[in-house]
Amino acid sequence: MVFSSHLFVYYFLPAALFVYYALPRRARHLWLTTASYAFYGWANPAFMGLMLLSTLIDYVCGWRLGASPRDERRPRAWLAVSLVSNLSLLGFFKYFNFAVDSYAALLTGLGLERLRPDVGLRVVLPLGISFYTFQSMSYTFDIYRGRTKPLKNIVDFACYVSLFPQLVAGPIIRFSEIADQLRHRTHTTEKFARGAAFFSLGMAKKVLLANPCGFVADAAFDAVSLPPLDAWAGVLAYAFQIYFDFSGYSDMAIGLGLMLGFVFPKNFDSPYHAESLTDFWRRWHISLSTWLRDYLYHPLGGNRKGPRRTYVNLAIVMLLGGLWHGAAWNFVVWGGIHGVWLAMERAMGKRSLYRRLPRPGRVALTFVGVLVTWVFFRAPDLAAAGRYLSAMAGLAEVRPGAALVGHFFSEPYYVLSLVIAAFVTWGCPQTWDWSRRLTLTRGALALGCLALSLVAMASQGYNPFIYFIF
Amino acid sequence: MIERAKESREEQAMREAGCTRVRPGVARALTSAFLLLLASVATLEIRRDVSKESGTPWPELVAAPVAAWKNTFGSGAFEGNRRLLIAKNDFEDALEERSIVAAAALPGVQWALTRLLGAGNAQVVVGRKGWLYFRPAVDYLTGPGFLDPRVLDRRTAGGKAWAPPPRPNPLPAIADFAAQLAERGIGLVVIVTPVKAALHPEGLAPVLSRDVLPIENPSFAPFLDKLADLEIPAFSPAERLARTIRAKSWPQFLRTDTHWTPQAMEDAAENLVRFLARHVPLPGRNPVFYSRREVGVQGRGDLTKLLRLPDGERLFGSESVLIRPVMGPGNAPWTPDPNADVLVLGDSFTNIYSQSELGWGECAGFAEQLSYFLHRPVDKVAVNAGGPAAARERLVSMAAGGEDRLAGKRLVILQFSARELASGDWKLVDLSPARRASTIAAPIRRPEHGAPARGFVAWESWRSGEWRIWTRRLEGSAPRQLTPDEPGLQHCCPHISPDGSKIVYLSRSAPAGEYPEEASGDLRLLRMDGGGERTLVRDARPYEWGNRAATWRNERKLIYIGADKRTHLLDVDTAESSRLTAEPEEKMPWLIDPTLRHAVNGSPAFSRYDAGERRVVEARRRPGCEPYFSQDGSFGFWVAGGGGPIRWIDLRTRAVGTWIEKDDRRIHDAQRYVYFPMLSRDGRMLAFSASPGDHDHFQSNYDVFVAPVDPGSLALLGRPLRFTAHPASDRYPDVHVEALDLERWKREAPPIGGPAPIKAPLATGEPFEMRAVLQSCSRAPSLREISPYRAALIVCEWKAAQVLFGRPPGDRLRIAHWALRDGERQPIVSLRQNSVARLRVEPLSGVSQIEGYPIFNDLPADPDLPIHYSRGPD
Repeated sequence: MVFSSHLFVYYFLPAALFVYYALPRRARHLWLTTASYAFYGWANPAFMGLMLLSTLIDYVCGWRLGASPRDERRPRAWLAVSLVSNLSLLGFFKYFNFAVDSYAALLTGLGLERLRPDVGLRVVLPLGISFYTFQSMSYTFDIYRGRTKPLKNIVDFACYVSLFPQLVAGPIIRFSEIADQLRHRTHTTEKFARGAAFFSLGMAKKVLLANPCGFVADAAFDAVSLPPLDAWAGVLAYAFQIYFDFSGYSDMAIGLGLMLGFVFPKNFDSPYHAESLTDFWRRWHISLSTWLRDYLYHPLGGNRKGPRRTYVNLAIVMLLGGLWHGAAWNFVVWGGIHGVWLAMERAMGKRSLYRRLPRPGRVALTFVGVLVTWVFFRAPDLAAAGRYLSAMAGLAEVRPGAALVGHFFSEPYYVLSLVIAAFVTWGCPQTWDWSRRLTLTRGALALGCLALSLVAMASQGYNPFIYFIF
Repeated sequence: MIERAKESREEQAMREAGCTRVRPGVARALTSAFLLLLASVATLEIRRDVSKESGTPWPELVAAPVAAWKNTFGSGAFEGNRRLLIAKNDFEDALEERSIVAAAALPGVQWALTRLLGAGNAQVVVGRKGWLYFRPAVDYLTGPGFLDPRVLDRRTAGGKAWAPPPRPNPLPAIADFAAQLAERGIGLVVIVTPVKAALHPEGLAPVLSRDVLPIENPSFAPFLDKLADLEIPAFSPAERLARTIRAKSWPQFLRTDTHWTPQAMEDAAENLVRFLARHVPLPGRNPVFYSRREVGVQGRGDLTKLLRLPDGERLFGSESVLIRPVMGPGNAPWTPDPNADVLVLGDSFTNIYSQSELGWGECAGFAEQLSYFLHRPVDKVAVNAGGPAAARERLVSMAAGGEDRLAGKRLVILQFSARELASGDWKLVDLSPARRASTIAAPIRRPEHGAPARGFVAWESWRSGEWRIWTRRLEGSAPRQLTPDEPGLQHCCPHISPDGSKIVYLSRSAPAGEYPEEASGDLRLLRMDGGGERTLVRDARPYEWGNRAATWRNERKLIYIGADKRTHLLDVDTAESSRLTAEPEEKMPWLIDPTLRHAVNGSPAFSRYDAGERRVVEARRRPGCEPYFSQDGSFGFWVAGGGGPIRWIDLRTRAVGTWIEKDDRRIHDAQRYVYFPMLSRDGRMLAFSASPGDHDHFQSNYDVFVAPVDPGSLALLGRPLRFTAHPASDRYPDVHVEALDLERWKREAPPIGGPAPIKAPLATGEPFEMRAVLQSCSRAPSLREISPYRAALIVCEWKAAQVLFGRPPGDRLRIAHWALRDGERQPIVSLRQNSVARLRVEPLSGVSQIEGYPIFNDLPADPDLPIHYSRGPD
């Protein structure tokens, strides 16, 4: 089930909220867990068992970790059980096909086709597995590190892992960030109202901006050939699509959380305002970048082991971060480029040329760089990414069919969508700041955006869900 | 990377989100308005569904978990889960189709978006100057090649979780269809109808020169080339229509409809007739002269309807065309003739101007025009929605009901829209009559992603009533008789030259039903294109107990057995011959391997040949027959017993291994009685024949199979695939491989096999009326599934409670009802199990109203329950 669907907006959400508030407090987590499993199982009921398994393993591990004194060896074993089981689930369901295909391609490349494994099994990727395994692992990590205590009630823990607002598209809520709220949180009209505003603006970002931009991006990336300007327009449209889609979903998640009394941390902080790639990663998908920082970069040694090791660590983290986004080589390349770029920025420090540029120049340069790397993120494979970059550089052959794609870049509706997207990106405050003070006018504006989004949702059939690979 | 902030993210969040500055009244108002906005829609929709019994999707959703649970016990958890996925998907589709927000807002919003911003929707692209385009058709032109392996893989992987993976490659389906038709002596011609933007891009790209027309998908030319390789004639009218545009500027497509103009269609029909005359000569018959008259027709394009603009809007007006309905003898309107020898299988491009429901007149469609230009009656089966397999599936349903529209046909013309090449599900459709799954023979060769091998098989076949040599491409072409008819003479012992350019065979006078004792005959050489035939030797013969008569030593030198029972070496260019064995054998003459080291005489002894002495040192005999050698002489192979196994022997170490066991489970269970092994000259492909269990080499249903072999390890790679399917005996195959992708074979092999669906016959008989109890219904498709069309039928099962008129054929009845008409869900969709309704039932076969519409049927197969038709329940 996706937030921007008739079923969720008009049926699931009102029903979930109504029952939630109708129940006594002690029954609310059980209801939230049930509703979340229904929400998750809607995509494929078979996946519910997997999430339940992950939940049970980490609950037991957390419980054993909490029961063992920290100086014993046993806690480490329980942490290992948690990590191995979660990473095994993630590894098998997300990376099995990728590993088999890559191994086969490698053998073919080496001329050893005869040794290729004859694997008929193709694994279906369970929705949101990257999000909930990371969340679940953070629970045992945080208990192991002594940052928090285990939950006594398994329902509370299952509620944390499966919480539908952030289950399939994030943000990744670490247990330590929400532990206290699971034990006690307030429900106020102010929170609910702000949640409604968040949800409304998030929905508008998704339906009114991300979807039309996605339509243009799809036309460009699905085309076999493009003139250079159209190729640039296509990747620009994709940059807006992924930003508004992802941040729109995050806003809706935060809004839904507020409606249920939870306060989730910020996940996007105007990333296209970034002055460098380092700055970009402080602003883009913050819940993932901080998770990788705290649970991967720091354990690897972070920047404590000298500059070279720091660069290597950055590259490793970004490569794995790329792979987290999708099991394909183009994501590895995307992560690799970001890793090298981050390492270069760190190595050059303030001596770099673009540190000396005026702020708009730095923002523009960073944006263009990010834009180029988005090609690897959006293209279906490395070869297609190469073709697209060639088209952007004007090096690709332009077939007659390319002229047809040009229509989408000149149609007033899509041009207007891109212009509004650019205006909202660089000219409007972000949802967090805008909704901090809610007046009647702002409330009406938010609801107006929601109404417009709902009408658009009903009238436009195009409503992609781009997180199925995450 | 992010440096740790002093304030934790949770604290920051609590500070920023947990402390909102809002007055309590505003907060309450915003909360109330938000909840009201969302809940009001659900309330209104539920209220509507409660008050109006029909069309609501809720009962199906509520019943789905129970049904899924039952299926879990019956067919396993995966099946239960699949049922649940289908139910929830259908529910969500129905909910969105019935949305009151969509109903209230869509026409107005769409009008504003189209009028002010030129926006279409997910299916319609609004071009300049009133041109509308179907989005999938534009994507076909702008997208990557539809035969690109990566595209095929992505499309296969991108299917629905609850449905079998789609088959994106059109070539195997077309090749398979051609092969099945060829088994019945019917030819196939393909006509690919271009899409609108290929010829009229001006609405999208006004600056594009007409010189580049027609625009095509990058894979289109290779697709036509591959069809040519498969020996399937393909006609593409695009180039001709583009020439008309360049020369006369006449529109070839309707502005607001997906289809071609009547003039373009007539032009295509006329040129197809010329194409047929060049490529597929039809048997002569007395010409039938049809007449035509001109009729003006005004219609509203299907793309305008897909935009769902307000009723009566004038943004896109109606269009006028001049159609020419075809009249038969006696000025009767043209109708399809089931007795015609030409059948048009098509989609809505065939039905437009023919089917009045499409809104553009009748009797003037593609089949009608073809009939007019051919001067002969033509039969037609065309389905508007359901993808490229729909017409073939309809053909099968009709045949199962006793209406075999392939009977008496000489030519099938398969028409489909070019966009289906990139978006259609090219399912393989078994044309054989309805039968129980357990009796279904092995599926015929059906490569998935192009052929794993290029090359051909040649074999002896009794299918024409004489033993002749037949051939078929490994890529899947139609079987072709290679050797000419020679009354009274039987052809045997085909053996392909190492380069695959020619074949030798024996033509002899022999009884057709047994191996002759001493029958020698002409050893002939023939090119694989059927030409250049010449007799090499007048008196050659095979070895004992089998039809193997020669080995190629190299491209020029041929080893054969003479009628004198000596073995000879022949230069096929100079006709010089020398004896390889000095003395004639008393009983069993020798066939010697290409390296002149070993010899066999019908018994698999693999004796040593002494070239110096020109004699064979006979080794101990082994049980079995039909021995032969690899081209490099390193190993031999034979059948070690009746029906198998097929064994190989390393001639250096004498180690023995098995390729195919008797009743080998890697072969489809219907045909595991194996005989007649032969290896390709490169050692990478084994050919053999197998029957369902009968030994008789002359009367049994042997079919030819091939299986890839690793020439290094001699391991059999992948499961054997069947290459012939004729009931007559197909035996003694030889195989030539031009290129073999063993890895692809390995990937492809596992899906082969499994039961084919049982066909549901269409009912015939008399109408009747009854009161009946609904037992179960097939799922109704969503509008998205049948887009751009808006009507479809579903099959439901009823139990007769009271007969009101006529005589139903039984208590249990399967009836097709309209599920969608003009985009509206019909009452049957929401009728619950055990509902009672009064039904006026008529046989489905012959109901003209349903012609061209897809019938969705996912009820458990039962060939004993033919499908009837009822407009109701009312």
